[in-house]
Formats: sequence, structure tokens, C-alpha cells
Amino acid sequence: MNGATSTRRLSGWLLAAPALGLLALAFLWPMLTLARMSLNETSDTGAMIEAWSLSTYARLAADSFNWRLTLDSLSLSAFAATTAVILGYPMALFLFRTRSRFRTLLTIMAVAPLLVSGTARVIGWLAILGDHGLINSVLISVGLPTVPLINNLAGVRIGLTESVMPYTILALLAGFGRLDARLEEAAATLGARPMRAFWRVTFPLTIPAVSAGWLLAFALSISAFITPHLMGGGRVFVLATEIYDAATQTLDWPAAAALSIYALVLLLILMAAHAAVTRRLTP
Amino acid sequence: MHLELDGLTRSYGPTTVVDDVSLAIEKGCFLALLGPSGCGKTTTLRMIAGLERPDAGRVLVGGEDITALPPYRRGLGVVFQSYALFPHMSVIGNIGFGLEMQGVARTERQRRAQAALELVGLGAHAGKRVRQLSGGQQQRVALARALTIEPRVLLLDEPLSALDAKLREELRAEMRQIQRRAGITAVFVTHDQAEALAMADLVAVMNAGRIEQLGTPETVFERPSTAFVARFVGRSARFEARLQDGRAHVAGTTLRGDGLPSGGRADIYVRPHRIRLLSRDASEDNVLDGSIASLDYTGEVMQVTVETGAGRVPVDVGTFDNAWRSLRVGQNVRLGWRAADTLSFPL
Repeated sequence: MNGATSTRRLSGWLLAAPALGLLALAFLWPMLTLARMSLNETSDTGAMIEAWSLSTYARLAADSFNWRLTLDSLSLSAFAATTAVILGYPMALFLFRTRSRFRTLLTIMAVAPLLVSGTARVIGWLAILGDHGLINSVLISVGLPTVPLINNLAGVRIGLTESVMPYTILALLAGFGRLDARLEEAAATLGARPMRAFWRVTFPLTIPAVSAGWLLAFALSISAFITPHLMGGGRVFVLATEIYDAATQTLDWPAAAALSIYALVLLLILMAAHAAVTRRLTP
Repeated sequence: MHLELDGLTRSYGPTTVVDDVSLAIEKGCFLALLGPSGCGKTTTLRMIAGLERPDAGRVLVGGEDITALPPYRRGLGVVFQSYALFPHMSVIGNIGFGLEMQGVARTERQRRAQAALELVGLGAHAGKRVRQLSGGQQQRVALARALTIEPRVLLLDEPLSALDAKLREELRAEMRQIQRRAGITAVFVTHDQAEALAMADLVAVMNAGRIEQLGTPETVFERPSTAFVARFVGRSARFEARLQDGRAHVAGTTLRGDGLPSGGRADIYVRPHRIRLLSRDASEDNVLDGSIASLDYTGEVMQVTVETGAGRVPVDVGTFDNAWRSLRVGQNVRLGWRAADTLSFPL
């Protein structure tokens, strides 16, 4: 009995070993290196000095720019996640419910943006949102003033929302799971109009899915780099772009490392808070 | 007539699932739609509920044509096969849902929901979550939820099929009682003939989208109007016969029946409980000789299968007296039945 249990446990570890090994190599090791680097110091000339100190963190905390950066990153990610959920929800519910033979095709179309590289998608957006893009050309042709939709926060918001939406839809679809269409029928026979049945029965049952979809979209948004970088045109600053600048422009590696660790911890705290809230909301 | 179906028809693509179904029942009647799976009984029920649109035909309740009304404006109660209870609400919340939709104030709602809960004997479980209840309790909550809105017709889709045999029989009687006491008109769908016969005032036997027979349980069982009904409801001895001069000729024997057609071919059915094993000198309208092929003891009856010249014949022997104890496989027996119990269906 005991032997069987331990054999099973051993085979479990063996099966998990390749994935754990890869994670250790590709995630844990770089993270530890990063954490170590964040404890180094930077000399006045910009050179990295081996050390075991928190001075880099102190330097970053003293700079009010970093606090604004944090708030901007959080609010931008919250905006993108919330919008993606609001826009993705009806689509996911439709895909979940439809009996159409085009269902698979529609699902593939909904997640197709994932098959295109982020850069290519941004360039697509530029063609639509740019000063001479689709939207502004239309505005000009009807004699209206143009609206700046790239190289600013509005552009980053649009691009980010679009880039996380496929993931949100997939998370919602997975979360709907055993949502039973009979429940809405039951509500209808008890006198509930469709909207009433939705808000009173369907929606409450999908709160866990909404919550999971939102968190995924939020995590992806806060770590997104390409979209804020390209669509912000260097005028929108978030944690990810700042880390990139510190690492590649100012070559202040301890600062880049410390900001990375900070972003990671921030996300972990938010995930914990999210889990606590979800537990209270879950029916 | 309280509930009328008039030529209801529904197709999915090329298949006609419900084909010109018409019937009418009076207020307080308990109607069973009985048939094998795929016979269209559930689709018929869903069309009455408004959950499915008929391609043709009408549904009338109390003389009013409700065919075009959406389900939420029909005021009919539905108990689903899976119960479809709202998992995020308490038991009392589920039962009060219909009243909540009608805009009944909270205290009044609580009072009436509690009353409905008492009616189904679950008064003590009001605050529980649905998933804390057993299957039988969930079934009762589903029933109470449908009854609280005081529906004009109660529709039940295989309401007992998810329960085990013992509980099913208990709930059968209980549901019947609740339905009678409330004086409510009810339609319930089932594939279980015992359930249909035991519970319903009227049974509509359905096959391939059509009603084969509509009648009281006794008529449907004792006087099936088609061979399908005879086969589907209850067991039978079955013979292929050639008819001549009011007699049925079967493999060298001649069978008597009441009002047999004068010619042609027919399927002859006889119910096992109508066939008796005869003593050597007894006479009967129809007599066959044979030997016992198998014995199946079911408790209430001994099911005897007799191999005769005309084919295998099932005979139910009551276990009230002790005669059944002496039966042995291979034993030679005579069996017989009255002419009135011969059922014939022209081919």
C-alpha cells in the first residue's frame, strides 16, 4: 500500500521533471540573477559596482517619476483588462452558445490575432489610427478635425485592449465551462425576460470566468512592452518601457533589475488581492 | 378544454420530429406523453412551454392561443429533467424566483415560497444551497419552484428519471397527490410505461412524432389500438396469423378472438397476465400445449416462458398460492386464454 503510494508519487515527480527543469532553467535562474543584480550599485559614471545593498531601490523610490509610472501602468492595464472583458464577454458567450457549424471558424477568427506577431498588429493599427490613417482620412473627408490616436495614451489603450482580447475570450470560454442553457430556459418559464434572466442567472454564474479573464488580461497588459513602446511613440511611459530604457538606453542595469523585481512583486500582490476578492464574489 | 394542441408540427432539417400532434385535455387532468426516446415527446412539451417554436399548429390554454407568446409570458410551470435549479441561490431563493420576477414584495415572497416548500415536505431546508440537497430533494425543490407561480399548466420533462427506483416510486405517489390537491393541469413526459400508467389520468403514446393512442391507462394497456402500443406498453405473446371466417390460423392451430376481421393477415398479441396455465381437463376459448422453456421469478409473479407449436408464449403465474412452486423447466403444460383477450392488428 505504502509502496504503491510512494511509487505513484515518484512517477508523478518524474513526469513533472522535464517541465520543472525547463522552468528552473528559463524562469527561476534568470529571476534569481535579476534579483541579485538589483542589489548591485551604479557608480556616478554609470558603471555597475558589485554590492549587496538596497541603494538602487532607495534611489528609485525617491524619484516621484517612478510612482507616477506605477499608477499609470496600473490604470492603463486596468483599463485594457476591463475593456477587453466588456467587449470580449458577449463574443465569448455567443461562441459558447452557438450551434452554428461555423462555430469553430468563428472561434479561430476571434483568436486569430494571436497568430500574428505583436509588431505586425501594431503596424496594422497605425494604418487605421495614424494621422493619415483610415479614421482620420474619413474625418478629413467629411470636414471634421482629426483626432490624434497614435503616439499618445489613447493609441496605447486601443492597441493594448485589442492585443489582450483574444486571451480574454479564451479565458472566458474556458471559464463558462458547464454554464447550462437550461438555467436560462428555467428562468424564462418563471417569467424572466431575457435581460432579466441574463443579469439574475447567467451573469452571476460567470463571475469566476470574468474574474479569471480580467486577471489574465491585466497581467498581460502590465507586462506588455511592444504596444506601449510602438504605439506610445516614446511619449507614453509604463513600467515595461522604463525597464527597457534602463537596460538598453541608460545601461543602468541595477535599476532595470530592481524595476523588474518591483513589477513582479506588484503583480503578485495584485493577484493575491484578486484571489481574495474573487473568493468573496464567487457564488 | 383547458389545454389544446392543434396540429403541432416541428422539423429539424429533413426530419419531422413532431408530426401533426393534436389533443385536448380538461382542467385538472394529468396527461402522460409516453414513448421511446426520439419519439418527439420532449419537443412537444418544449413547444407547449414556448421553448421551441412549432413550424405549424397552435397551443391553446383556457381557449387562448398562446402559440406566439414567449415562454416568460405564458405562465406555465416547467420541471426540467436536470431540474435546472439556480446553483447560486438558496433553496428559498430558487422557489421565490418566479414571484421575484412578478415583482412580489420580499416578505410576501418569502412567505409564499416557504409555504410551497412545506407543501413538498422540505420546510427545514429553506436556507440551504441547492447542491447540499440530495437528488430527490432537488426534484422536490424544482417542483415547488414551478408550483409557486401558480401555473396554468404544469409541464414535467422526465421528472423522475434521474432518481433511483425506490425513490422514484415514492415520489410518483407524492407528485400525484400534490398535483391532485392543487387541482392543476399537468403534462409529463416519460419513457417509463409503469410511471405513465401509475400517475396519469390520460396517456398519449407517441411514436415517430405522432400520437399512436390517447386513452386512459387501462385502455392503453388492455386495449392498445396499434401494434406499436401493444409492443411498447407491457409484454405480450405475439403470433403472425392468417385470418379466415373470424378465426386466426397460426402454425397449425386456430385461435379465437372477439370481432376478428374475416380475412387477411394480422399480428395477434396476448398479455401474459391474461394467459393461465390450465389443468388437464379444463377448457378455454384458446388452448395451446407446450413445455416450459424458462422460469423467471420476479417476486410478484413467476414469469413462465412456454415453448409451443405456435412459438414462445410468456405466461405470468401469480405467487399468491403455492402452485407456482411445483413448476419445472421442461415440464409439459397447457395454457389458455379467453377470446376477449386476443388482440389483433391487421398487417
